[in-house]
Amino acid sequence: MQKLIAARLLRAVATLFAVSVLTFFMVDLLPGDLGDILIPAEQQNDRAIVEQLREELGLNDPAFVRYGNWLKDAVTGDLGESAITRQPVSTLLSQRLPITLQLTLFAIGFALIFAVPLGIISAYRQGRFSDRAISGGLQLGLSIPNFVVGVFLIWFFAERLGWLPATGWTRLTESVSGNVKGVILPAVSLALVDMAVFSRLIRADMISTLQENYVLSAKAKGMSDRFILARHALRPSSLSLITVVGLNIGSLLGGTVVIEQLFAMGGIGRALIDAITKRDYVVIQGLTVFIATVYVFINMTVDFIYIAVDPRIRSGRT
Amino acid sequence: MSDIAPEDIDVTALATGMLEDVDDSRDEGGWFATMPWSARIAGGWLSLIIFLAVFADFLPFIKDPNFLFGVFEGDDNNAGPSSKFILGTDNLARDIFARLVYGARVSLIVAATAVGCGLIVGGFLGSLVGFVRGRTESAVMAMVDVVLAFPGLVLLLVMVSITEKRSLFVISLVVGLLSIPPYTRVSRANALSIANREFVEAARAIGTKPFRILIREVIPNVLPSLMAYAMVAAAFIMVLEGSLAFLGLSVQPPTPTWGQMIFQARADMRQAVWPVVYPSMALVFTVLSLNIMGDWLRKRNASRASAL
Repeated sequence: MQKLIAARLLRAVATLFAVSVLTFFMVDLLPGDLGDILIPAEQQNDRAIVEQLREELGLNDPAFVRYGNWLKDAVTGDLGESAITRQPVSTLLSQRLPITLQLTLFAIGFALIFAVPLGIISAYRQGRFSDRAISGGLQLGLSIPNFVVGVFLIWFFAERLGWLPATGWTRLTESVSGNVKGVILPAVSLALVDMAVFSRLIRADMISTLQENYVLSAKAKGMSDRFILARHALRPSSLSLITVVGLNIGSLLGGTVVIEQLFAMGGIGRALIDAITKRDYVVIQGLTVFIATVYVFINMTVDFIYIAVDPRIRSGRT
Repeated sequence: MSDIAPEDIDVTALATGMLEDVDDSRDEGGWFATMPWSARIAGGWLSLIIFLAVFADFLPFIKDPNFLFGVFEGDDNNAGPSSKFILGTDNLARDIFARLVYGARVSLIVAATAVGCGLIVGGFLGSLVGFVRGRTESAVMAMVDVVLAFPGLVLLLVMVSITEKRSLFVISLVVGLLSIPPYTRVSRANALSIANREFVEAARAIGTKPFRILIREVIPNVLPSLMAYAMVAAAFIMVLEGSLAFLGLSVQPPTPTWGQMIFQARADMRQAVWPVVYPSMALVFTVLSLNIMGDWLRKRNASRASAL
């Protein structure tokens, strides 16, 4: 088992290294570079000054030297600073991450609250009308892009009814109710697809669990269906759910871009779009590497949970 | 077989949450007779939009999507359905139906390029490394892991921003490139299990050359499940292109795309909801149809595999 974990760790580190190479050189391919932004316009025509500044900034070094310097700083948590606002990327991250994180957790939370009961009901009523109706509804839910959901939620709940704010994010420290109100619509927009995915997974796993002998013996002992479903069947049926919830938290951290833009929330996704439109190279690099790093770590953690939960993988008998 | 990691579980199943839901109906009376009505409707809808998008230029009832009817013929903007405009007009008094049809073109071309690149390059690469194993496999899968370490939209955004001019060609190219790794992963996982089957062993035993086994035995058996994945992946790509358009980073105007239509009509949503509803419905129906087709193909494959 230790060997398995060590191998997985090694693979994660190797992947991260490759991710940093890919990000750096991809952004390096963007037209123009830092020099165009940092050197004031009136000095751009003066060849000597431009050359001197470029030399000082290290922009004339070969790409791999610049990569080495960048990586050296990045490993210590210094992702450089924005060329436009002069704000360190790490500061930007610490400001923006809470928003995206809150949005992600609320979205996953909403998805699970609805997905678990729906999944259990359809497994229990497999093939009956309620199962068919739920499955059909979920199939539809799975197919509605989050920004479409968002557009109609804003139209209905913010513009027609005026119940919830359409845009903006209130700090938790300012107003708890304002904070929660602001996060409901964007989180629900993100939750719909995940809810459908989670629910279908629970249904499928639950159906195979319900055929196990121990469920039959619990039934023979006279336990109520409700008790069996909640206590005996749900836990063994949640293995693939854990995987997918983990993976979706990871992909949501980078996947909230459109929703953050739509609801004017200043999270990581919004920061990335801003950086891309302003060609703020250092910020693009920093944010992309950060998002990918989190993603890699979450994937690895999910694998570890798998190892811990599934005895067959643990003993290497897969 | 300790080298099959958790990520080798059926990716299509996980992406859509469908696990081992085997269709009991056996293949009696051909593929159409066993097709559930939902898949028939889905197939019909997909055929319809493909037909309209391909022949849009030749069909007389489809108007010019960028013609400003308000300026030249005095029609109202944001008007409801009429005999002249079957779905009404948008905020610049353009024909919504025509824009939907031409918008389908962008979505379909991007999705088709993605599926094409994925199936041909990714499908072959994955089958190859799943069959020959060894160092080639480790190297290819390491590269795949790196690309898949980025959330799809983030990588797409950065790559699109590299290109100065966001033409349909460039967007399709980027999406096509990004489609190769996931298809490689799916086809490798399938090739791994097929390479251990008796018929592959039998082919080896009678001295068939490895390349011929790959072409004649492995790939034909990887393809059905890869096709099911392709449907779901195409749905995903359509949503991705829609998101990109919604952010204003897909194909540049005046070329209409569904995502961009939703985005533009949103500004006037208080006055006119329908200009947002139509492109949204078109997008949702298409994505839904692709998902239904994907599910149907998966069930079909599962029941065929269990019948073997």
